[in-house]
Amino acid sequence: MRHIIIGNSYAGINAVESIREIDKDGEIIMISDESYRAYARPLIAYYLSGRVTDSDMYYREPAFYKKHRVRLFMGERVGSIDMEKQNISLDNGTSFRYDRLLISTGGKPSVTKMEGFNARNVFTFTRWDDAKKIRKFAKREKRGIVLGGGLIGVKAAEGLNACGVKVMMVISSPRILSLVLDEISGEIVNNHLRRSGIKTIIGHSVKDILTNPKGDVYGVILDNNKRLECDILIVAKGVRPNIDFIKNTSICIKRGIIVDRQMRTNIKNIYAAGDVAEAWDILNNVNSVIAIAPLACEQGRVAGFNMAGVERFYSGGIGMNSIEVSGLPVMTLGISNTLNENIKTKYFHKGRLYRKLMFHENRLAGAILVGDVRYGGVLTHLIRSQADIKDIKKELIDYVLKTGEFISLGTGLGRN
Amino acid sequence: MSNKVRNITVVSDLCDSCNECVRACEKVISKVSNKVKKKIAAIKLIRNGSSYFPIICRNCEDAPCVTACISGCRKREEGGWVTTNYERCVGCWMCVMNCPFGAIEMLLDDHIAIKCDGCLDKEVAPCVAACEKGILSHTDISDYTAQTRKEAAERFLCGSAIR
Repeated sequence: MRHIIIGNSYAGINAVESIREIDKDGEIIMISDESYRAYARPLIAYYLSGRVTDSDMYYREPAFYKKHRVRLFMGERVGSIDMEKQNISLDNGTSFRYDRLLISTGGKPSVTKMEGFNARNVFTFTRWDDAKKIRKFAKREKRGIVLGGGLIGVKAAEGLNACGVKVMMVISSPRILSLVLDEISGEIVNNHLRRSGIKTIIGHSVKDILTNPKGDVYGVILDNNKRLECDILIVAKGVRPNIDFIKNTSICIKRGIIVDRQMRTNIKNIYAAGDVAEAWDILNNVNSVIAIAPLACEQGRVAGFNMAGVERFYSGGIGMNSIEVSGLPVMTLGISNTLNENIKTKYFHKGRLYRKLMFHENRLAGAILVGDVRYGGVLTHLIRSQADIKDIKKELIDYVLKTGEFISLGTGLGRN
Repeated sequence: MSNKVRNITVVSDLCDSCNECVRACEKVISKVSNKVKKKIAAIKLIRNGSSYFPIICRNCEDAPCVTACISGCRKREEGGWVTTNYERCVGCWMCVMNCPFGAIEMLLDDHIAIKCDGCLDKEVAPCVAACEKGILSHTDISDYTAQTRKEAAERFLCGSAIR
């Protein structure tokens, strides 16, 4: 049995581990277009700000591939897949037959086409190489502009700020982290960022990028004709599934690769997992791309077991994020920002402390925690399991409005 | 890799919150990493009606704290317990966001997420040794089920006798 895994990050590594729990003898080949063994991708922001060293970037120990008997091909791209012959070809001409194939190629920046985006001092921020290149440019007293107020934008801005760069974020949405934060929490985070030295312009987009004759970007023009100057520009306008190489195949794609609960695509013996996959979304009752590391790991694990012949089912995911913005912890769980009238909310707000729960009938649909995120996992579990919370609703509301202290749910409704 | 098999079982009925387990744990936790500067324990007692309940890592199967960890600092040992390499923990709180038991403590300023690593280097875990009431014990799962079954049967028999 030969397993081929395209992609060498969370989903791929977790698939390797679960395959090896079952299939001790099969062959495993991994193909990565990067030149590193698996590293912790979200840590590139920590790396940029100097909080982790090179050796702390790696997700698994150096002996991982040897121990799991994986042949890792680094710096190689897959050019095409022949589904009839169960064969993949690399750009360098090599080809391999597979018995099971896992596509876990993650996401790539969805950069808008705009002049100047290929300049030397313009970067995206999703790979270790990006952080390394940015580090060379990010010197004290330089001016940096970050386009985009999502997670990647905030993390890039923080990283630059830590390097001593004067950072301006240009956010076209009505608030920072607009996909997950509501008005109050958005305001808290924005104020906190500004206090840490990062400036933000909210509700405006860039209509033009200014380049000098050498091709370097020296500024941007906003939609209100305001002109901002910079020495470095980071474009963080979201990511999308990395599926270009299978666009012309019969693999079923919507936004990402559609998979069932066993992470199988519509094509026999081809699986997908992680940020590239469109898998079951518990709260929205559809398949969707939820590009976060914990779900990539879970999906990778499930895919691996199924590839090795053991049936395992993905329980479905919810959107969730835990980030720290200049020392302020923020968690958003499930449906955290909605105008749906059927969802009733309760919240507590005092200074930088914010707790909000979203109820949908007798189920918990989402939560936002700012400042104090302890025990967030108990809420996550209630949301993911869509447990009936009728009997503990009062306790939950007390938690939100008064105590913020541990809810004894772990003893009752927690998994066992 | 430790292949020590560890089971910490909680039977909460009798806990009166004497806090000996917490004190025992604090001594261990202070030594897991130089990064730990505050007094903290990986076990805490919460009120549960009129009694108390110790919250401690339950060592989940397919543990969410392991799959959620972005730096890869948590792993399952050969003996089955999930442990942490605190030098690699960056304090992203992903595990806190995913632990259904609220059993992970945050050291906010030190950026480190503490959980019970089972004290695999010791024959008896200090919290278990400190618990005079026997609420924390090293009973393994199969014994535990046998024990609870026996107790339930006894209760049933007593109940029917009284009636």
